[in-house]
Amino acid sequence: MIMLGLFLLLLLLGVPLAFSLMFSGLAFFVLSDTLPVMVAVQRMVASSQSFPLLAVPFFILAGHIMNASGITSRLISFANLLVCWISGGLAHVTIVLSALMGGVSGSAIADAAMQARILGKPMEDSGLPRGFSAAIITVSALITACIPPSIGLILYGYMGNVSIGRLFIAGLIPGALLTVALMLCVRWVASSKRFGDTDKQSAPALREVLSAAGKCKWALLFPVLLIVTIRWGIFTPSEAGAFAVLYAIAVGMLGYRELTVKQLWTALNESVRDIGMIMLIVLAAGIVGYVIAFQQLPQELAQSVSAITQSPVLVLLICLVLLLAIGTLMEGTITVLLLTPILVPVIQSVGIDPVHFGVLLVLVVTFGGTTPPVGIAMYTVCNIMDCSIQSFIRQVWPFYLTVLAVLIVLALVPDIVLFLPNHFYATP
Amino acid sequence: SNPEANDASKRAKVLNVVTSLSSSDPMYLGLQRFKALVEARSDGSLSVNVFVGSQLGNDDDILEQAMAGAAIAVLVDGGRLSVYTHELGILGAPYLVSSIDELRKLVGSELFSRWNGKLQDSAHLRVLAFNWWQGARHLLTQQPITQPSDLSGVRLRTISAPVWIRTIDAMGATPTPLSWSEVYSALQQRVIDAAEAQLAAVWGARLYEVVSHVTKTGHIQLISGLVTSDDWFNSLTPSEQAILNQAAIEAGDYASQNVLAAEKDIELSLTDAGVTITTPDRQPFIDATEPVYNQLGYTQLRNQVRDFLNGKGERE
Amino acid sequence: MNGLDKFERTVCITLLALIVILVFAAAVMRTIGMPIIWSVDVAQLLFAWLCMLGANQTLKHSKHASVDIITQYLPALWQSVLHGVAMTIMLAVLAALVVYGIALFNLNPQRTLGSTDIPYRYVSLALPVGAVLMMLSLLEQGWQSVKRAGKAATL
Ligand code: NA
Ligand code: NA
Repeated sequence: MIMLGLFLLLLLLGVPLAFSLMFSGLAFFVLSDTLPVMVAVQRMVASSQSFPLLAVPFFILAGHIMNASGITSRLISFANLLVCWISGGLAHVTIVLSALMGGVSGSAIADAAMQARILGKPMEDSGLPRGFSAAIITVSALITACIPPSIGLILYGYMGNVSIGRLFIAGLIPGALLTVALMLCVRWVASSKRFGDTDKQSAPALREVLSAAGKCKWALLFPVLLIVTIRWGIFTPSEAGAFAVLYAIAVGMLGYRELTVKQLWTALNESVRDIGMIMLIVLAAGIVGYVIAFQQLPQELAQSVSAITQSPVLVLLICLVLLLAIGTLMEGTITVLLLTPILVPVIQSVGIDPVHFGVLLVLVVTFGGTTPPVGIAMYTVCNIMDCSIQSFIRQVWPFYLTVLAVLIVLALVPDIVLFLPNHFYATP
Repeated sequence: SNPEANDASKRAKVLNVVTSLSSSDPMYLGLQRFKALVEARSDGSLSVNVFVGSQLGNDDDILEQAMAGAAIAVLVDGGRLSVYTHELGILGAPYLVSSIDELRKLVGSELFSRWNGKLQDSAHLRVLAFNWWQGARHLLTQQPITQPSDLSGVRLRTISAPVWIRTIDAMGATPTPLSWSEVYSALQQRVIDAAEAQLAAVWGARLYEVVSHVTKTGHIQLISGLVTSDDWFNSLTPSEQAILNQAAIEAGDYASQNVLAAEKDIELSLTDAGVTITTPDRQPFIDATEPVYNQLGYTQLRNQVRDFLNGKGERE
Repeated sequence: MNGLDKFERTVCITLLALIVILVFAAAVMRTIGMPIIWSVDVAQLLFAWLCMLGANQTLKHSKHASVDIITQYLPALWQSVLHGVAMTIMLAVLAALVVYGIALFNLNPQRTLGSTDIPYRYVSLALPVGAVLMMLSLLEQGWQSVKRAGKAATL
């Protein structure tokens, strides 16, 4: 409890997340007379020694290289051709792009930032209000967090000891569902408010679509390769990350001939900084995770929850509401790292599949990143597009409601999430 | 009276016992027995918390925490301790003993106590008891195995410690270290072709769903010990120390008996699940793994162990 | 300072590239039936160093994630006071990592990394070394902001 108070105090004083965690975690060891402080340092070291976790740097690097190698720009023109004729125009492009990029990029926030930079201005020029554009770019980033690879799902699998391969496959249908739901929502809002004039445009001919798809076949092939190689045992998810990096380099250098050695160096350099930030938080969370396990907090929580109710649906809803509350206040990575080891025993004790819960958890905390007060994705996008938070809020609520509706459906009908993993993997 | 009891429970020295096994493993029952025995006999001055599934770190991490003086103990096999005391590694060497009784005799011997003393000096670690027998290791494959040459080119998952890797290599397979939690999916997806484990683990991890053959080579007798911090142990009173040692031995015997009792049932259940269980002629495997002792520098030590088991060691 | 930074950056990029190659090679070699036992272990050793050296790169050239919902509304003076407090806390954390990290390095020289003969302590060493480098970066940043404040005062 003292540790939690100290952590929140430091965080609010503006001490970076990783250091707030380390300070409050170390304080516990210093004050305890049975725990040597060396153990805290060991937990940080040990946090870097997980093979599944290697997927994090790989997919961060792969994302940076995709942007430099011309894969991203080809996906944008493909998405554009596919959906910009629908009422709402470019707003659909950002959604479809998120779904396409979902398969190549691991980080929702990086994707939202990239799309705000590239699509923000064209969206405004096409007659969409700035707040509306910022809102849909931000919220559609949830799709990226859901469709494999996803850093959130990797961290969840790592902390909760859940198969990352199963989690990856489980994210596919919810991602598709979110894509469709958000497109319907955009279409409804745009046609009722007459945003963006698309009357003159018509759906592309199949021939056009095929030729555009041919131009970005290497990028479209990638998510397919990823799933196939993981499922049929050529690669573990971490190894698939290494494959993703080399694949992107090969496509960029040999296929599209756009990636230069200098750009590759820049992509590596930017990735190092992203990795440094995320991993210092992961290492720091190692200390706090030890204290949580040492205090037997998960077991106690599981006991007190099962004292209240044994109903899986109720437990699931309680957990999700809790996550939503914390997710709107805290950064997503840290919520996943700290709450996964606490909540997984709780949900397992009432028989909820941890794969089902994992997809919901990652969606909910990523959703928290799109809402006030501490929505990092929201701030990032509004910052890049120079959009006020007020106009963002005014336009975003239909999207929030859509996401909530999808979340409720996914929570109540586990089979939507579990159908694919149960079909492709026999239950271990 | 009540306040005194509260005081006593506040002052209770807590030992945290950690295992990488799950709560469905027979060893877990042994750890629960250990907890019950210690808490009952120490009259509240000692208490034990059991952590399953490596919640506080992997086995090597826990050993390191114990070295740093934390009140922690872990259930580990000899192979993992061989970096600290070379002699302890021989407990994981192939075909060291011909029966469990011999093994039980060895870990209760003067010879073993000397190894324990070395461990205290070299790493500030102390064995409470090393009689936690988990079963014999057998081969889990997708095709029948009758002799070492059948294993040629087979990627076989084993524990990532020298004695294990050398043994599997000597048996003819390609040793492939992988974390235990990944073995099921790796076998299913054919990332690896085979594994080796004791029957209780085959059952616990449901590996019978992803392999078709169990070949009872019994190449290694998996025996573990409860290892704790020597510094912490020395901070206890002599009677507390005695309680811990005695409880660890009794609980270890209890856990081993559980394994023995469970193995027959598990074998039947595995057959029901469609797994073919065979017992090969062990001599070719014994011959094939013979060089392992020389490679790891255990030749002399094995003679010492043999002398002891044949009764010649009594004079020492 | 600049030369050291360039060197660190090159080291980080090399580490990241090596990790990718090692893990990919491990997967390929295993698939063709000739597993390299040590490659994943070595990749994880390098990763510990990448995490700590990368964290220092973030500290110098980018920003570690923090929450500014309260601090952004405070007057400039308060902001710089809190900034100083945050710096001090970060330095204290890093100093603890250096002291206990070196103790951990000396505690367990026998432990080896996975199936290799490499002492595991070289994984642990990444922590104190990374912490020392981050302390240097923080002190450099502190010194720069004091100098700026001094300049602003004299103008
Ligand atoms: Na988007
Ligand atoms: Na993704």
